[in-house]
Amino acid sequence: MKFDRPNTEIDDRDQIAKAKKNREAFGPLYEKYFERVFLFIFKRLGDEDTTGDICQLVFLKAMMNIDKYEDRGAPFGAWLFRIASNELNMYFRKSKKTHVVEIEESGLVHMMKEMEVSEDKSVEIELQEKLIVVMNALSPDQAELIDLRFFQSMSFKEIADIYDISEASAKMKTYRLLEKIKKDWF
Amino acid sequence: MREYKVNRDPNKSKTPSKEQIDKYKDFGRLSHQYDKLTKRPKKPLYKDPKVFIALVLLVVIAYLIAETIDHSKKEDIKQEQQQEQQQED
Repeated sequence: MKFDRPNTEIDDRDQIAKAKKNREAFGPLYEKYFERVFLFIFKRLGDEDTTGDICQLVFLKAMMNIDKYEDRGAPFGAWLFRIASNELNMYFRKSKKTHVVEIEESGLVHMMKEMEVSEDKSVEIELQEKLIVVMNALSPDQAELIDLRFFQSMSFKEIADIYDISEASAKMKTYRLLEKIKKDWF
Repeated sequence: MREYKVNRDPNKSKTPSKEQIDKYKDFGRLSHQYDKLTKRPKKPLYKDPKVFIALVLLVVIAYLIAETIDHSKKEDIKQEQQQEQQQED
């Protein structure tokens, strides 16, 4: 998942400036980012209709608050993902329903590799299921970090942009969390 | 609450296609929601007969309450003055 390609950032800046003056100019930004924001939410929620509703809400909030958006070096997509993340967390707090999120086995294997688990062990179904139990007990914030890194394949730079922290902090947070998961897992 | 489930069949991806996602994309609806939230109603509130009656009722109730309070205050002052006079006598 990528926020922006460098050559499109200039276009964004121009479009954002236009959207601040006239909300109809928000349209091209909506067109450009809708799919990425939709998938970002869907991968954490696993429900298409609810994703559609939350996605619309994210863009509504972005449209209403675009005056507050400041270009501080992070791509516009990161700002949208931050709004989406807040909306999702709010939704999880309110919702009493349990959402089953399907994750790719490759993401799980990648995660185990980062925890220095041998390749042979990482494909053992029993071990994977045990890891899933540990992951299901994570707090929403912790689960989000794991999702972004391993199941949405974001770089540490992209994660840092969403949380408005440095790349080193994003890396440190992730590895500390992996250590905790490993401890609970074995 | 969320629960993870491993998709062990990479060919059976649940991720929606571009066409499926596009079904949810509707800038017209978004603009309409935005306008509804931000733009003031074209018709002033007092021109709506129901709201007008409600406003008149509110004003009448407020006037009656103010009058009642004023009246009871005047009564209290009268009583106090009468008591003072009785004490002086």
